[in-house]
Order: sequence, then structure tokens, then C-alpha cells
Amino acid sequence: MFPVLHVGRVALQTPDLLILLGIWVGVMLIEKFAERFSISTKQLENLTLWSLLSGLVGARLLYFLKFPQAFLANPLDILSLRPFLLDFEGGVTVALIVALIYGQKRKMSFWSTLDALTPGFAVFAVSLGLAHLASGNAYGIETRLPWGIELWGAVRHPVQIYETLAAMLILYLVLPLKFRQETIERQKRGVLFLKFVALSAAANLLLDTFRAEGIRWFGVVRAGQVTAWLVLALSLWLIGRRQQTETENPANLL
Amino acid sequence: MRNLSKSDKYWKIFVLIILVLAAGWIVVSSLFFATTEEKNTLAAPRTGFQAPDFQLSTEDGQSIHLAELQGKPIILNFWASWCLPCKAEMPALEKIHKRYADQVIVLGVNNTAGDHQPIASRFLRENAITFLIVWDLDGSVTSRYRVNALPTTFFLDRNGQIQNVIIGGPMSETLLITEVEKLSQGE
Repeated sequence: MFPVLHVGRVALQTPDLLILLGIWVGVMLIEKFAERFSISTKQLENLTLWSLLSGLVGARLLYFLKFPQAFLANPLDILSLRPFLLDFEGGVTVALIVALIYGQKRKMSFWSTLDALTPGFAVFAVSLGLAHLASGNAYGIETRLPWGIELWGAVRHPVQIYETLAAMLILYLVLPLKFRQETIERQKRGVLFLKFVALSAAANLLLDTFRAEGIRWFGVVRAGQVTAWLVLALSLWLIGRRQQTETENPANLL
Repeated sequence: MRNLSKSDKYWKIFVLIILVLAAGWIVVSSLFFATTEEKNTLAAPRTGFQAPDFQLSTEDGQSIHLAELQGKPIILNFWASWCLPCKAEMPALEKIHKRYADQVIVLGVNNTAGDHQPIASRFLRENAITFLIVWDLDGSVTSRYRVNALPTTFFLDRNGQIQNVIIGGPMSETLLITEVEKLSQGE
């Protein structure tokens, strides 16, 4: 666990750095492979940029709406550049809505865009696992296994390491680097993204077994596992549907 | 078309097997793996756990025992006088102390082992800081709370359970007000 990286007297938060690194590498990979999915690199760059910016603004605005009275003493804090005062879930929701609107406006193919973004999502998942490892979040249940790690007052399953390894394996499986152009062209649009979702859901379903935190329904069933099962079922069903679609109109590719 | 329906049939069987196995795993893992963790009884410097207990003294020798402060939410702030963000957030902490005196306790822990107590004391006097400050002379409390960077602030509910941890700063008054509100809502 390395939550803080010291550079001289400056303390940098390692989890945040890893997340930023994940976004950066992810965006690079998205740009590198965009054209393989017949998506304009420029459009994807703009989509990513608008989503990130609107996500940040949305996160601050929603935080303000949640706690308006807190800003009465210092209203200018709404413009503060400090990384606090952000509503994470709200920011993600705003970013997704803006991405959908932008894609719709630019007439970007929904499934091809998701395929092109998949390497970015996969890299981000790896960085999230590493960030959890650095912060000690998403920690495991107690274990007597020899590879257990001492964390938060007990020897625990190193779930953050399992999570990172699973994300790395999924990244390897969905990275278009090893696909030939013909394979990508032959594959139905959206299938790469749906494979990523299905694999991630399956990994979460397994990993949640070893996580200490999380909601349990009726004190027994892990809500995370049930959610992962539903996502897995939906993504597999959609893969089946996408596979059945006849050759799509090339005019819709851009 | 026949090939398509054949592969479609295999796919459906594959999906069915996967989903049945996954559902089976949920049942098995719910029955045979550890159930809810008793975080309320475990002490660790992390959100959801009980705040590790300690007993330290103020400058005038008054002994402060964390466990005895339970009953009100506590803002536990680790700081040092050489740390610029720590000093920058002190006025905001002081304002919170004055504004919410009846609702929340602000407790500053000076990491004296890595600081100079006379300089820290002078800083407190010059800036009219009146909330409780205790001196961690040997750094054991700072170490027990795994404070790797200053400032680090723990937000404890009235039962002494950690509700949030903010590493770094300076925290603004706005942020502190929202944290106090969250602690009050949780009561």
C-alpha cells in the first residue's frame, strides 16, 4: 500500500496519479486504434475531451446542488481548482450524457464508437486495480492463505492484486493490437465492447467473493455479484443479437 | 442460414451454461465464504472502521482520551508547523470549531516527533487557534493512523467510527461544512 508518493516535501496521492495515468494511456490507445474501427480519430478525441470536461464541471455543479448552503460563506469555491468538492457519480452521469449527445450530433456509429473506446476502458480498469492496491480500498476478506496480505488490522485476500491481474488479462484479450484488420472488419460492431463488459462482469462476480466491503441482501447475497450476473446476462444476450445481425450498411460506419 | 441457426443454438447453450454456473457460484460463495465483516469492532485508520484510540496531552498538560470524546462527531486533523497546507487550513478549522462548537469537536494532533513544539505553539498563538491541540511527542499516534502525508484529516461520527479521510490540503471552509453536514445527517 503506497497511498502517497513523496517528491521532496510535496506529497502526491498515488491512487489519483494512477487513475490519471490510466486515463492518459487509455486515450492514447483509443487514438491509436480508432481508425481500425472506421471511426475518425478527431471525433473520438473531441468526444473524450468533452466527456472529461463536462464530467468535471458536472461533478462540481452537482456537489454544489447537494450542499448549496456550504457555499454561502465562500461562493467562489464553486470555481476552486482543488480536487475536492466533486460528486463522482454525478460527474460520470453528466460525462455519459454529454458523450451520447455529442455522438448523436456527429452521427457517430454507436457500436463502432464503443468498440473504439474499449481499449481505453480496459486500460482504465487496470489503473483502477492499481489505484485500489495503492490506497488499500476494495480490500479483501480475512484469509489464512500464504499469499494473504496484512491490511487494516488483519491478514486478507489481496483482492486488489486479483483485480489488477484480471483487468490485465481482459486488456490482453480485447486489445486490437493482436487482431488483424480483416478480423476487426469481420467482427460485428459492438461485439468487442460487449466482450469487454461480459469479461469484466464475470471477473467482478468471482472477485466479489473475496471482497470484504459491499452491500449484502438479506445479510447473505452480495449485491455486487447479483448486479454482475445481470450485466453478464445482458451483455451475452446482446452479443448473440449482434452476431445475428446481417452485414451492416457500410455507409453507417462513419 | 442453417449455419447461422446452428451457431445460434450453440451460443444459446453456451450462454445458458455460463449463467447457470455463475448463479451457482453466487449461491456457493454466499454460503461458504465469510459473511459481513464486523468493521464496527475493528480499529483501523480507514473509512468504516473504528478510529484507533489514543491518549495525548495538550500544551497545558490536560490529558485527552479519544474514546472519552465519543458522543459528538470529531474532526481529527494531523498537522505540523513546517507543513504549509496544514497552516493554510487552520483558519478554516478554527471557523468550523467556532460555528459548530455544540455539534462537532475539532481536535488537532501535532506530529511533534517531526516538528518543533515551540514553533508550532507560536503559530497557534499568533493565529488565535483555540480548538483542542494535542502533542504526539513520539509520533506513535501519527504512525498508528498511518499518516504518510500532512495534513491528513479523519472525520469520525459520534460513535468513533471513521466516515471519511482526506489526505492533503488545504481544506476549504466549504469542504469542512459539507463534511460536518454529512456527519450530522448520519446521526
